[in-house]
Amino acid sequence: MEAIEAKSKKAGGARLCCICNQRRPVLKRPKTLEQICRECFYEVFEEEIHQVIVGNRLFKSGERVAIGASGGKDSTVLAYVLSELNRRHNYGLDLFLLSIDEGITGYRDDSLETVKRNEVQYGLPLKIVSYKDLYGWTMDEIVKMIGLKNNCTFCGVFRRQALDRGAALLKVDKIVTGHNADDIAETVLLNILRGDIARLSRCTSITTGEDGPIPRCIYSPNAYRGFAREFIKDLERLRPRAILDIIKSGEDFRIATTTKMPEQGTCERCGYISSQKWCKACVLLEGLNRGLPKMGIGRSRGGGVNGDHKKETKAGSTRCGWNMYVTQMWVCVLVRSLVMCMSNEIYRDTCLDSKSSNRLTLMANGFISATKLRERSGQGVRCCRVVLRHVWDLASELPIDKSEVPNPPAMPQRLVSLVLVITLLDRG
Amino acid sequence: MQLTLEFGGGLELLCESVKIHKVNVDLPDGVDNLNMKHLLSWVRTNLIKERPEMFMKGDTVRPGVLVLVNDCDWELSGQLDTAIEEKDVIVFISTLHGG
Repeated sequence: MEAIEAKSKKAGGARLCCICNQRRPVLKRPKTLEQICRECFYEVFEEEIHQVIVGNRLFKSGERVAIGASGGKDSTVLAYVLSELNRRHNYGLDLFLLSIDEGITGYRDDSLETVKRNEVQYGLPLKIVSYKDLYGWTMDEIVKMIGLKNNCTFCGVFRRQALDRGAALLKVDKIVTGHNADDIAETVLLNILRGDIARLSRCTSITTGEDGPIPRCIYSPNAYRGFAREFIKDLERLRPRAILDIIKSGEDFRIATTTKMPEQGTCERCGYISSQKWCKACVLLEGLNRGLPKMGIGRSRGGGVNGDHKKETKAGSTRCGWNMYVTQMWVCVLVRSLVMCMSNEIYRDTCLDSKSSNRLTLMANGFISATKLRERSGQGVRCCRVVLRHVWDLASELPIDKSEVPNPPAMPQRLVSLVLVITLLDRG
Repeated sequence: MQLTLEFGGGLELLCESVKIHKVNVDLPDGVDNLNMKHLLSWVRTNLIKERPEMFMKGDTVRPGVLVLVNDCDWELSGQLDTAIEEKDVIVFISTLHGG
């Protein structure tokens, strides 16, 4: 141990932890760029979480709270921190771990072992709920029925509801789930790419009715997601706070009051939150049970259980607000990323390499196709596209090789004013 | 030079699912002091058996891979320039898969 201490001095230099000024630092916090030691990191990390819990009045004394536990690092950290804070600050919560077993042979074995270890370590009772308990089908059985194609639809839809349904079984007041900043930032970007503002506003809010970031699955190495993740990690390298800034952008996007959002009602069959007559899980289950597993997969036009309902929603929605609003958000993100990369010293040190700029182009294209899908008012969309093209032309004029231009360009200012123009267009 | 290399967070899958490797690394020709840059290229040639792009990008690790030299984030010790000494412990953890 002493040998390591001595050797680390060479690694960490003579510097000491920014907070306690006593121990050697072991990490640089991306959020603050402070170099801090292990002990101080735990302390500030736990204290910040406590402040968020208190500041947002997340819990009331005496509540039963289920911790969504997957056995991964995020939920393990959550289980530790919450049980520790509950003890330290007397929240008076009745905590337990809730795990979902999809019934995929070999997939959960390791993680369920981890969850069982958490149960012992933190002294929290554990409840494992299986797809079989909740839906009458395991994932293996579903795969046997429908094959490997499309099974992600089932797993994803079932999983999203599984925690809520499991929680209902346990009669808890609240469920908490742990996510890391990278995942949230990724989800923000993905929801923007898909043009899904309803989900965008939900994915960053601290409490929700349903829906967290989409969980990953062994069957699906989602191309979109991997690409967004790499983009985010690249941005982080240019500027460590980028990830938190993206989340902040997600939080800041407020839905225009003129825009009609898809209404959230409840499923007529099971009472779960749903924007349709039947929730997606019920539609899928109906198909499975009737031996028509393809039901509910892909785009259904008319017919089906939810056919009529869809028409109503469409008729009720406003014509233009949507597209415009999405464009506005998109431009904001573009501008923010660009400003971030171009601003002063960061620009001079590390400029966007051509790969990152290609990525920005790709994302812009992805957005354009997303807008196409939402084409409801020709005029609005054409406007958007012209403006976006414009933004993109401006952006591509930006020098990307640092050898070419010594000074930070004045471009971001022009981009910022474009956002204003779009805001005005939207009002007009 | 005797070193302990540890792979975690899924990276072990790239080196035949072995997490801890006790290895003996020779100094490359014309190099007096080993640094992380040399070590990474050694790891890539000698330990990574598949999909090296999951581990490295360019001459450094892929963004999202944490590197600890003797329990200390390599950002504090100069990243690729970090000098490596006898009996050092270097840990690579991927944060890219799963929560």
